[in-house]
Parts: sequence; structure tokens; C-alpha cells
Amino acid sequence: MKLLQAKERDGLSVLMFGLGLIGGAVDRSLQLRWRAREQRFPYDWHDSSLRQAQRAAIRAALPTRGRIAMVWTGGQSGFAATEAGMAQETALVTELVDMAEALARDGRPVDFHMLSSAGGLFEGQTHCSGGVPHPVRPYGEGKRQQEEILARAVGLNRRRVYRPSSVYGVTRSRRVGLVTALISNAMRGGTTRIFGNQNTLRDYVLVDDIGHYIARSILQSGSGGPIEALLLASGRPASVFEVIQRITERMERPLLLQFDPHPSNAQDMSFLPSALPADWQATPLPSGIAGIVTFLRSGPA
Amino acid sequence: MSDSPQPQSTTISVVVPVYCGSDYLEALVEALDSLRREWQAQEAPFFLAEAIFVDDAAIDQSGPLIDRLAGQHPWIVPLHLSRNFGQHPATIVGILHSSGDWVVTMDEDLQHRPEIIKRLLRKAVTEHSDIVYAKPASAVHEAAIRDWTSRSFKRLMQWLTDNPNLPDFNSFRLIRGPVARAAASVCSHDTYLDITLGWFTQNISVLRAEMKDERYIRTKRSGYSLKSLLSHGWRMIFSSQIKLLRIGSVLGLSAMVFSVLAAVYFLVIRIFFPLDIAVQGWTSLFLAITFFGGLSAFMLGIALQYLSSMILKVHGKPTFFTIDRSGDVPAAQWLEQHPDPQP
Repeated sequence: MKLLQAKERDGLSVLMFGLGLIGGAVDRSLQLRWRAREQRFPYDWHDSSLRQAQRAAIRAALPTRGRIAMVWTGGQSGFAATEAGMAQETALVTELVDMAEALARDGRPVDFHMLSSAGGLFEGQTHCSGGVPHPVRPYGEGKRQQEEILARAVGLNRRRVYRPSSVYGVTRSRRVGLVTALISNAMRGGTTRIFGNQNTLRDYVLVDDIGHYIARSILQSGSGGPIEALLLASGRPASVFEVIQRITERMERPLLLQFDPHPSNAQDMSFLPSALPADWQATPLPSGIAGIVTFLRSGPA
Repeated sequence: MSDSPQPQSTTISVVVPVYCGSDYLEALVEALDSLRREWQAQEAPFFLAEAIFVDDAAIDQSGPLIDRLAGQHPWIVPLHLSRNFGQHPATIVGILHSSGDWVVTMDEDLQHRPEIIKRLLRKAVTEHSDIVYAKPASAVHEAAIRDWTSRSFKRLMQWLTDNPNLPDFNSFRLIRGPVARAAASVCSHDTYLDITLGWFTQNISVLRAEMKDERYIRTKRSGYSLKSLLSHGWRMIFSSQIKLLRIGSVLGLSAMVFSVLAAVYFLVIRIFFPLDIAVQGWTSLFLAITFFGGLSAFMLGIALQYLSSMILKVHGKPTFFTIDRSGDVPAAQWLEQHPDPQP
């Protein structure tokens, strides 16, 4: 995990747990907007007694005054997570929410920003307006429970849950999502296996958009209130066929594909633009694809 | 009453390109809303899930009006194009923002009545069609010359492009969602949407329905000028394999065959009846010109056919496309039990 601190912005301290694709994007965006001192702390995801000691060390490193923003952008496994895997992840979230509440009891404002998953909560729904979640697998159920844990933590200042749809993007070390996999494989002449079919609809969002949005939200000060659940989707679904078409146009070479004859993840998902936050803007898919192609072409593919 | 589709419902997206529709949009939204409520009240297994209004840099107050209507109805999706791109690109944008199992495209001016959507759907699910075009049952413009021009233009284009569905093309259409989105995603600025749709399906039907272009009847002003008609025709031809290319190749080949047969004939004459040839030397020149002219036309035809195939490939003509029509059954069964009232 990472602790970011600066004297400006009311002495805000940001505790970031989870520095994967989205966590990394939030971190990059924070650093662009905010010149902060950075400290890294170990945080073991498997040993709870070790974590207790690590949390104590993190608390000791925090200043005695000023706003704290805790950010959970972690996740142990994706859609295929088992109940046991999600229970372990939920236990991690519970500990962090408890830690945030303990910090809040010291009389300082503590915000909590939690990353959830629109795909997990609303799997198989089209024209979704982001109402009551209906998860259909352990992954979504786990995310729903984690949101509930945060909803119960009424002693915290601002509580925001971010529900991104199908995230794609790239960092120097990580490539995630169908879009990135297709581009990456096309560059090295590899075959991409698709666990949906040509017509499967998804709402693809670029990880950088999510990073910028969450970073902006972290830096905003504000008073507490009810928990806010924010759907971060583009509001513009795209079929796998279209994604392939756009990438083929951009790459100017045919893509080698293998479609799963019994796809386990072929249900359509889409979100109504009216359900998205007013201050959220998503990069159009062709621009996002162009950006990733340029990035991968300029660096090690 | 729930305002969201049942998980198993067939969802329908409506796409409306808007250029000059401020006089009609409120009435259109009202009609769509009442259709939506009617289907919900009837517990139909299909649901009007969204209406996407694409403001194609409208020349009137349609843009702000669309935003206001979207504020009142969460199922309305407002889209604003940065400049005027034309009806087809606006329709394509709308389709690419849709996620319905079926997509209906219709004009802004109530020429296309929303209540016909159910009949289009009935036709589609009972006949396993992927596209149903609404075809005017009578003269749309109630102006003989205007309607004759429209019909003649379509016939000429049908002959040139050899596309049997071309006379049925209409902007009021119901398209299976995956087919609509796939076709829209391969359309470039110069491809014709309906020609592209034909690359993905041959299951195309037609429903005759009463349609009147009230705006034209009232104002005698058409949305189509000669320039836009020619542009339409050009895009149709450019998106298709042109019949003229094949005709050119066949003519070239015929000329070659003719010249070879004529050469044999005149050779026989030259050998066995040399006195019958009154003028010497012209035969070989005539045959050589016919042969090489034919060969040139034939080879050029082949080269152009190759070029045409490559252009179609660049335009995104697919090698294959899969489709699942099994979801039509609940809607088909329900519609069978709920026949349309007789007029």
C-alpha cells in the first residue's frame, strides 16, 4: 500500500490499498494533480495477524491532524472468483473500514473511497439504471457485501463507491481487458481467446478516465452524508464484433481469434447514460483504442 | 408498474436522427411513452427500453429540446453531433449507442408512426426476419412527380447494384440488434447503411403500412435536393459491387470469342474460297482490333472486380457473422395470442 501526504489541501493524507490497474491509474492521476510525499508500506493480503501489525505501523506514520482519505482499489480475483476468494477479499475490506472508523473516532474527517464493479453487480442486465444490484455469481455478491459494509460505517465523513463497467487499459507492467488483450496479441501475432460471442455487448471504459475521476473525488473536500454509489460506464455499449473491427482498422492487420463455443461470459450488459454521474465523462472507444495502440507501439509490446 | 425491463424481456431501442424536428419531437416522445406504457400494462414480453435522439446539428431548437425531454424521461438518450453529418451517419451513431435486442430507426417528423413498431416486431419474430422495412401502402408525398422520381431512382439503383432489396429500403426499419450494430460498426462515411445491412443478413421482410410525409404535404419542401439524391445514389453504388463491371467483362469476353470464331471462318474462306474475298488485308486488322479490344475490356473488368472486392473488404464486408434467433420465441408466442385489432 501507499501513503501520500502533503502540507497543502488541509494536510490531506491518502492511504491507497491496491495498486493494480485501477489503483495505479488513481495513483498516477493523484501525482499529476497533487505534489505529495510518498511512503510505501507492506500490506499482506493473506495473513490477518501480520496485517494487524502493518495497520498499526501505517497509523503511526499518519499525522495527528488533517483529513484522511482511504482508498480501496484492490481485488484478489475477477469474475471467476470463488465464494472463499470473495470472503477473503471482503474480510480485508471489513478490516479497512474498521480502521477508517477507528481513525474517525479520533475526531478527524475520514473519507472512504471504495472500488466495486458494475459488471459484478448488474451482470446480464441491459439498459441498466444502476438501481438495486442483482449479482449472479460470488464475485458480484462479494462486491455487494463490501458496499453494505461501507454503508453501515456511518461514522465516516464521505463514503463513495465507484462501480466501473468493463475496464480496459494499460500500464507499463499490466494489460487488462479484452481491448488491450486483442491489441497486445495482434502486435505479437498471437491468438486471442474470447469467452463471449461476436454479439456480446459490454460497456467499455478506459482506466485512465476512472483514475482521473476517483483522484478528483479524493482531492475534493466535503462533508459527510449518505453513501454515494457512482456508476462509471460510458453509456455506450459496444459489441465484441465492433471492438474487433475498430482494432483491425487501427492495427491494419487481421486479428487471430478463437471464440469459445460454450462461452461462460456472453451475457449482454449496458447502462443508460442517465444513470451516470453528471461530472463524469468517458473517452470514446475509438479514441481509447487509438491511445492504447500508440502506447503499446511506443513501448515494449 | 416497474420502469425497467424484466430480465427475460426482449428489449427495443428506438433511434431517431434529428435535423429539423422541434415541431414534432414532443409529440413523438409522447407517442413512444404511451407505447411503452401500453406494452408494460399488457405485460408484453418486449419492452421499449430506450429512445436515442441524435441531434445532427439541428437547424432549429431540437438540440435543447432533446436535452429537456431527456431530463424528463430517463429512457431517452440525447446525443449531439459536432456538425451536420447527414441522416445515415446520425442513424449509425444512434445504432452504435443502442443495446436493444431490436433496433427501430425512424424519422423525427411522425411520418413513421410508433404504433407500427409492434407490427414490425410481429413480422420479424414470426418470419424469423432480421430486418423488416416499413413500405408505404400508398403515395407518401401525395405528389405524383415526387413519388415517381423516388420510385424510378430506386429502380435505377436496383438495376445498377443488382440488389433485389433496394426498392424496399426505407428509413423506418426494425433491425435485429446485433445485425444493426455490426453493420453500423463497419460503415464508413461513404458506405450506405442498408447495403451494409445486406452483408449480414438475407432474412429481410417488408411490411406495408400507411405513411405520409406530412411535412412535405404541408410545406411542399422535401428534405432531399437533387444534390443529396445524387450523393445517396453515389454511396449506394460505391458500397455495392457494380453490375456495369460484370457487363463490361462479359462484353469484352464476347468480343474475344467473336473475333476467334470470325478468324476461323475467314481462314476457311481464305483457304477454300479465296476469290470470295474482294478486299485484301482488312480482315486481319478488324479481327486483331476486336480480339485485343475484347481482351483489354475483359482484363480491365477482372482488375476492377478485384479492386471492387478489395474495397468491399476495406469497407468491412464480413467473412462470416453468427446470429442467435432463439430469443424470438416468447415475443412470437405472445403476439400470436394478441392479434392486432382489425382496422
